[in-house]
Amino acid sequence: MGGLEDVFGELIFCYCSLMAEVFVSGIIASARGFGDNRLSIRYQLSVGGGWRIVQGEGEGQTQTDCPSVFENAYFGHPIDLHLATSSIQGWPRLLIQIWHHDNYGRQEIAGYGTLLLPTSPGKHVLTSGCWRPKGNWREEMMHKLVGGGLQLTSLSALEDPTIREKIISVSAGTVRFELNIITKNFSRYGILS
Amino acid sequence: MEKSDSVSLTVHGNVRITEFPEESNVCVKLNTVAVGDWKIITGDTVALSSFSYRGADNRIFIDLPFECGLKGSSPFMWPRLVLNCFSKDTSGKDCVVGYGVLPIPTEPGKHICRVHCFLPEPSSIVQQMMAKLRGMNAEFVDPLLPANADGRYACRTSTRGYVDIEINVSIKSSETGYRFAPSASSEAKINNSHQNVPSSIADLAGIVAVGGEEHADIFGADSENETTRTA
Repeated sequence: MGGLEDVFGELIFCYCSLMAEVFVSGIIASARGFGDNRLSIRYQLSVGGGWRIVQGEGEGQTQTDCPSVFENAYFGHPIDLHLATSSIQGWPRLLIQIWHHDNYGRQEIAGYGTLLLPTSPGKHVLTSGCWRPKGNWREEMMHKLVGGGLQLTSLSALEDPTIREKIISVSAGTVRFELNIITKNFSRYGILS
Repeated sequence: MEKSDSVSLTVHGNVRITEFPEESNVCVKLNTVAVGDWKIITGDTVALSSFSYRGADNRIFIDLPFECGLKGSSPFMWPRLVLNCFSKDTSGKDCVVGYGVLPIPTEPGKHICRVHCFLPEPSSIVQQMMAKLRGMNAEFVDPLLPANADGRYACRTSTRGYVDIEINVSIKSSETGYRFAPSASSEAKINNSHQNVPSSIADLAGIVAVGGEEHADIFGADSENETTRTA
């Protein structure tokens, strides 16, 4: 299966001179507002049908930052992506899960968020206000006293608004990404962005 | 399909100030890391500052100038700066106090960036006490580890301080079609072509901040050429 994907990747690379491309170079900068902010962030790229990831990892996880000197968690986790597209629809989004690590080594979800990759070239600072699913009063009390809250069974809730609207959520903290975007061949297709 | 070196990047910068609240002095080592297709064509890859102690107003100024020219065939894996910060203790021994990474901005112009530097956490309380007694913190085996995203998910780190860096970026691209900056400049060009009268000296000389525009080809892209002739 690896071989077939490589061939596919090569074909896509050859066609890239015709397709519009987007390059992303940036970092997951920081997160704040999640209690003691002992966090790691897991991200996943979600693209529409016309998009292909030519180079770069579509998903990743940062280190776990345990703030001691500052209040916020800082990651400095590089994100490098090369995407090619034949269509403007389904512009890529980053689906983010924020995991909290406590002193006993347990991990729980601290929040979910989404970020839309900017459509215009240049340097961008993106912040996402994150949320976590809200349980009933008993579940909330357990979460506060013992830890371990509700989790989504699949990230489709982050992609599909019709699923998302059914989930009652509590606002958590914010994450900050600093991304540089380079576009290629958009002007050839007459697209202004 | 041959891969020509189509994007050339010149960086001039200065490491300005740093703040590590627990340290009395900091030395910054700046590495320019070019991954994949990118090559460093001019300038040093490593710049090392002196150990700067806190002054009267309790701040640490580093003042380390650096410049570098790089060339790559594609903007993927844009070069980045990796910082290693060191501190000297009272017995004169150095130890690492932070690792940080800054992807070089892809937008031409001047940027002031703040890089937060982290240190790996000791894995147990005993390790923590040993580190305090010996005056040596845990270090990464590879000092350039922050340059990549690989292998980070297993680390526990703690951020110890930040470094403010001023960077000036110039980009020359031999391939048209790349856009590095928001198109406020190209909208001005559209307006100008309607009037056929250049409205500024920059238009007259055809100087563009973004490489690869059609107008730049007509006027020979003079301003971008000088950045690649630094050798």
